[in-house]
Amino acid sequence: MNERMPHLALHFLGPPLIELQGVPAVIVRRKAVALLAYLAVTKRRRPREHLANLFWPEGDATKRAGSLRSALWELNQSIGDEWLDADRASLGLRAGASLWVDVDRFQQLLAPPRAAGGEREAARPAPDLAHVTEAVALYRGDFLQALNLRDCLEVVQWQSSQAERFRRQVITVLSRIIVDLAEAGEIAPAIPHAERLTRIDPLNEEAHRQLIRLYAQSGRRADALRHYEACAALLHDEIGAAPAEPTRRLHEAIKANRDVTRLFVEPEASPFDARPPSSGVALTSAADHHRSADLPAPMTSFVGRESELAILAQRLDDPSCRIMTLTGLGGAGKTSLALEIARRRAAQYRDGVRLASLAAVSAPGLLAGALADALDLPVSGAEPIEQRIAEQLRGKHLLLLLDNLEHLLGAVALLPQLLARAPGVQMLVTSRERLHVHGEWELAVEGFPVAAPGARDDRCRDAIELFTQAASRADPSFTLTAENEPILARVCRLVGGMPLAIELAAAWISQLLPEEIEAHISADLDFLVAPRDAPARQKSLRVMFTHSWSLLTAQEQSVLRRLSIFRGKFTAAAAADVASASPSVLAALTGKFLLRRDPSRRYELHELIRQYAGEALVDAPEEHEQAHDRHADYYAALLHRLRPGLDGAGQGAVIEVIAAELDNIRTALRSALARGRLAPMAQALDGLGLAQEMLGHFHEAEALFGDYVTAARRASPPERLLLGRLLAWQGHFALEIAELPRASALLEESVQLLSSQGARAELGFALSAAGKLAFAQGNYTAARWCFRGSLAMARVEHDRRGFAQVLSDLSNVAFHQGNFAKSERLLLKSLTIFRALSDRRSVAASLGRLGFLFGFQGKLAPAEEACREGLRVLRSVGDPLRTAALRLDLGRVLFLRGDLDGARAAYEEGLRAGREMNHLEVVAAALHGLGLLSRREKELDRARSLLEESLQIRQQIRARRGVAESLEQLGALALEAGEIDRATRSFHAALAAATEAGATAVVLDAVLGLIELRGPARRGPPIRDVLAAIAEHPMAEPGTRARAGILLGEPGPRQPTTSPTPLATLIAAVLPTPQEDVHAAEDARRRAGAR
Amino acid sequence: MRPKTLGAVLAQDDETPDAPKLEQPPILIVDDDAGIRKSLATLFKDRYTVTLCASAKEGVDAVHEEICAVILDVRMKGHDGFWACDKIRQKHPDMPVIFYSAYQDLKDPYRIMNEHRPFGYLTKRGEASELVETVDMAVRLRKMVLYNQRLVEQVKQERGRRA
Repeated sequence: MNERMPHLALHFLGPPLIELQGVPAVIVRRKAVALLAYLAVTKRRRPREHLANLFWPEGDATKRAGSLRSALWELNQSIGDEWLDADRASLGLRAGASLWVDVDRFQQLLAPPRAAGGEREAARPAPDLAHVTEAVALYRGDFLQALNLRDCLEVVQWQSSQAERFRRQVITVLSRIIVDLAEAGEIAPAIPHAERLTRIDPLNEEAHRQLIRLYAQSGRRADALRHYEACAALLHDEIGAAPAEPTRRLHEAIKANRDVTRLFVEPEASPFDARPPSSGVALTSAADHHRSADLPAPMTSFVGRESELAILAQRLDDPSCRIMTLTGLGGAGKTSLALEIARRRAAQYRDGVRLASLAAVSAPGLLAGALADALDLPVSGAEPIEQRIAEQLRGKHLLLLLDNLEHLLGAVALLPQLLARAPGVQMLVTSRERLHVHGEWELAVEGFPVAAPGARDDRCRDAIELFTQAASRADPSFTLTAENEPILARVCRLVGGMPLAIELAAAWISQLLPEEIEAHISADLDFLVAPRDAPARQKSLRVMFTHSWSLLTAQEQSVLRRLSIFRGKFTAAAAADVASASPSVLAALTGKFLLRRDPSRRYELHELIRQYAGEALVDAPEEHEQAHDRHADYYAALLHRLRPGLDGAGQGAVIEVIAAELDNIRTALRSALARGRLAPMAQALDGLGLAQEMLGHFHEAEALFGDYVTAARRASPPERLLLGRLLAWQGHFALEIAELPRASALLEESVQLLSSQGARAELGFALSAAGKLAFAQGNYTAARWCFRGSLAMARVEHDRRGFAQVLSDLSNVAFHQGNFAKSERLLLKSLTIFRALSDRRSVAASLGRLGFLFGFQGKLAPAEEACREGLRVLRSVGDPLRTAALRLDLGRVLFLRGDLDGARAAYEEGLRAGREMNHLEVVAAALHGLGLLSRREKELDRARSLLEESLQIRQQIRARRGVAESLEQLGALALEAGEIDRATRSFHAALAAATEAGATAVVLDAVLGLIELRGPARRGPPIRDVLAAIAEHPMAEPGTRARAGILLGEPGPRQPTTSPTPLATLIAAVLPTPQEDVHAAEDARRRAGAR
Repeated sequence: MRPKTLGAVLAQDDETPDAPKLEQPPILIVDDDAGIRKSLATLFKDRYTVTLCASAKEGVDAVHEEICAVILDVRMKGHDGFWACDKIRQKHPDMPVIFYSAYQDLKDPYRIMNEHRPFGYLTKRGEASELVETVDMAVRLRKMVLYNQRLVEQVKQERGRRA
């Protein structure tokens, strides 16, 4: 968070979080949140009608307008009415508002620093590491993660494109940080970045390799070897492949204890280059200042088009040609031509070439934002985005390539406006239609020239060359001969020379002779190209798909239809199960350009092909339903199969596998829900719940299980067991997201249902969650009994893991009741069981608790050791919540040991993780820790700000112990600052909250604080008795006991007693009569003045 | 396989899972002011089975294990609410007691909290919703305690029989 707290902070990189004056605002309507994000990120004022149509596409105009009004009403209610500037016609964020948006900050941090004196970009310094590290920390997850907007497609598309953009940026930046740090010899600091990268991009084998190398270089050989195993397991499970040769070599080198330093800079041919070229966020000054690297690498060698290239070069050489549009049909090769001329001319532009790929930009209103993205424009401030784009372009000499603009024609008036203010900029546009803007030049791109019937065939040279290239890829034995050339020329003519159609036709060469290809296309075109007034080439792509389809075997057709059910990438194993796709069929479809395989051997359908195949699937209703069912069943079974692995030694690798499949898992379970099928969820539930917990997806999981709960309630016949299990998981996640009343109701119902079903294991889980809830509410009696009930179920079920878990929970209760010996005994017992089960995350959690317990008792060295061991254990597991909790425990221990830098690092890391997960309890605890640090360093204002922020969160989530703790620290801070009234108020409030929550340690701290307020003159014998009682109270922290001893003038600390003075006696002694209160205040003021 | 003994632990009518039928848990209201008794009975009658008592002694006698929460006036003729609380706790240590007092009592709130450990301490001038919320939470937690006590006992007996 910035030092100067903004009034309204909008966090969209991850699950959305809106903070007003540092306090999370509750906005119920998801579309209200999305609307705020849209206005904040696009930075434009929008017509109301546009927004209403965008966000509420269903219903009539009146209803849409009403929905928009409701969303605005809620926004104004939640964050106040000073942020939105709405009139009858339009809406935007108010200019000049004190607004902080994480996306703005993210872009700002990653932008190359502005050079002084108009230096060229190439000479600019790179953003420094601190900026980049801050940017990476801001990235808590995907843009607007877990915000489900499925009923407004255009907004979803916008959200997806933004999410992908930011994800790409953070991956690029992480890759660069790692390499730069490693090359500078900063191995240990590079490791957390490498770990993060492997989490964000789990199938990036190079990233895994980097991490393994870094572990080895930092002397963590065992971690390096373990990570190799995890990586190998992931590759095997995910894509059925072994690690690549460089990874294996690295592994061998580490096993043999050879130096791996050299291997770090060894150039390796890898699909995942550690230094991605396409970066608007280059850390180091780009040597290739012409930015030609921003253009995607061509998939195949460019063929022909020399006359078009010559024309384009000539026109772009003309300074009066400011906007050049390549028009033509889909599949005519406009994009390839534009990219080729851009590549050839990149060096001629001082500021290079920038590409804006606009196919995924869903509405004209989003054009400006897409241009800003292409220019890596930091979007901050209240100026309209168009103005900032114009300012960015002014003085630049660059070529701006706008690809696929035809669906955004409603916004093209912006282009000449920008050009008017940027004389050094040229625009090269591809569009199916002319833009009809002032100053536009047009080049119509048609298919390759093809010979007219009867003419000489050499006019087809380029088309035939393309055919030959593509055919050679499909069948390496294919060669162009004098015999087949005329036939190929006719084929090319039949498809109008359209490059995409030629490539698809060429792929058939492995099955058909050239003359057969010609015959098939001829027949299909005669049949399909009707009515006569439709341009033949416009139909060519579908014709080619249709014909490609007809050439498939029935089995291949069936497979391709079913594959359209997948979203994103999938493994061969999934394809086999869901679509009965054998390796040979997958190979055949890949060879025919109908399926793609990425370098990591995962498969994906081109979106257009998926769409065509999807249409075919819908036409086969039985197969359609079956495909959905098999898709859901496959991923449910996968989760079920992987569930045991989440407990054991390989849980880190298993969770990575699940994370990589989440898109399909989500689709599968949502699709099953929409079809009223609950069986897949019944099978997936435990694996999914545990995986989502380990991944920190609490909000998403709570929402999904909530939807299933609704469905299970309506099921006929009643699904009581499933409903009980779903309620338990939903309650568990409601507790994690601090929705305590909801969690309470859900868990109560769950216990009732599971009990009536005799589902003992599931009941044990629900009771454990209910115990945690009661504990969070400070009700130790109910917590203890719930845990004991859960323990009983674990016993009868012989569930060792559940048994150990409850022992750990009960140790927590024992601790808060002052029974440290029992607490330690229970913890050590649970630790032994978890270790025997190789359950690393539970081992780590128990170690964290042990560290806390030792720390509380002043055993700081073993406390630190326990926390660090816990973190080491967690490294291979990647459980963000437990990792964050352990970091906070470690921070506290380091703070007590006086290692303030170490404590700060631990708290800041915990804070980042808490924000990434949107876990308010973790965030509040981290802020509290940082507040203590600032207080120790005499930065009292900062300390107050942090502690107050922590207090507000804890009040919001009704964490009573935490509230008491924050109030007590605020009292201590006020006392230190000489603010006597404030200190008195805070200590009294802390005393009340701590008494209510049964937080004895905080009660003692607050009592001591009130005594310190009195001053020495008013510490008579009764007060000295209280001090003595605190100095030996077993529930007082060592620091508190020491302070009491100092006030007594004793030389050393007392040992804790086993029979402490009742709290009520201590409190009664320090609570003054009203008259004493006045004296105390005066006395304290005098002392403060003297100080 | 559903074990016979376990199902009996928490006998619930759950024929319709979409609207879980929870029997109305019993609560006890102890106040020597008839008007207060009547208004509290009205407040809670739709949620709980309410037993009304007009004195501390009567309240102590009426408490039994199934009671889920006790709302106690502090100042009453004869014994006061603190006396009643201590007596109730002697027999039912985990019984949630909520003090509901019209006046600032002689004891300070901290002393009350530490000596008697009530589930809540509310004044009659406060919002009724606050009282309802406190009682709801107390009942919910009490039910959980009772349920788990029986469950643990049941398992113990089962294991004993097997042994």
